[in-house]
Amino acid sequence: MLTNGKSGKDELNDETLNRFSDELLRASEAGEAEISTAAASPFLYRRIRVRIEAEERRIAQQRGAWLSLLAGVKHAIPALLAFAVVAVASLMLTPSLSQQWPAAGVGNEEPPTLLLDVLSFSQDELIASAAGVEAGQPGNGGGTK
Amino acid sequence: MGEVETPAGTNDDMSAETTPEMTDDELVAAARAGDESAFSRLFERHRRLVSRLGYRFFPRRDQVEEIIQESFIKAYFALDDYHGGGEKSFVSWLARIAVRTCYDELRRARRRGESSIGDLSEDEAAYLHERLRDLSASGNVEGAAISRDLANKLLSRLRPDDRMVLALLKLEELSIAEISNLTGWTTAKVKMRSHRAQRGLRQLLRKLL
Repeated sequence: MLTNGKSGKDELNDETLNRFSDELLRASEAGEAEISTAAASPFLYRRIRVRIEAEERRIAQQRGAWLSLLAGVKHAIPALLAFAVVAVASLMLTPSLSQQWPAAGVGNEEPPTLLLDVLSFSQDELIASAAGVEAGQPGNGGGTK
Repeated sequence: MGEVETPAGTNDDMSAETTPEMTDDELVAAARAGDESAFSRLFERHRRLVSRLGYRFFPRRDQVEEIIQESFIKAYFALDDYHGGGEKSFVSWLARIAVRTCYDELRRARRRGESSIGDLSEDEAAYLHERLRDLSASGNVEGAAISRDLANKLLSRLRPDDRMVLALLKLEELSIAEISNLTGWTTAKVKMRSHRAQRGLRQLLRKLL
């Protein structure tokens, strides 16, 4: 059966090996009895049902976690809305207050608020005044005479 | 079906809601509607098909039982994706799920390094060698008793996709188009893998012989 030529030998070898391959594949096959036995294995369906139910429980728990999160968000909605209303209202009020300050300052050389008064002192004067209070001397607006 | 296990707690339901004459598509519709006995009927009808496919790739019974379980669980949760319509459509659909389950398990087993050629001892390799030589000499295919376990060890050396194509092509005797449909791979890919698988198996055998 063997030929002298290399290609002829390879071809024959491949042919033989292909036949071996087919035999090997057939050898790996299970018999009908084995196939039926595995299919009719006791409690196989019950095991499937148990796993399906476990998976369904897991899915339900996941869904439950999402639902509780959504419920939390749902409860938070009124609070968020109230917060938003307060924020909007304060935004609307803030410009009207700021508009009052320039109006009060028109034609008036005195600072309109106490805060502006305090800010008119220099930093050194403020420190000296605070040191004087601690030493028991009455503050004189930063003067040292 | 005397040997067939009856799912516990479904007998009464079955007589009340499903009948043996119901088609697969009708049973699927009933199962979708929450009828547990309908799914158990589908299981009884088709578990042998899944078992046969499982044994194409796995030698041990516990592995095949795992494939049966996995396939039916996947089928259960994918029932909504089944469209039906054809006479054999449920069988084809379930076979696709089973083949993909086998493929996934083959890949997992390969990653774990199970059953590589290294598992073949020198004695086993010599035994396989002799058996294959006997086949060659006598040509008596039926009389030859190659150990299935050894054959599986050798086949597990192939890449999972190659082994998948080879088994479906040679054992299930499916066409390229049918394998393509089962695996979801293109026909060109199936052809390429088929050539590669046959070449790979020849190389393995050449080493052994």
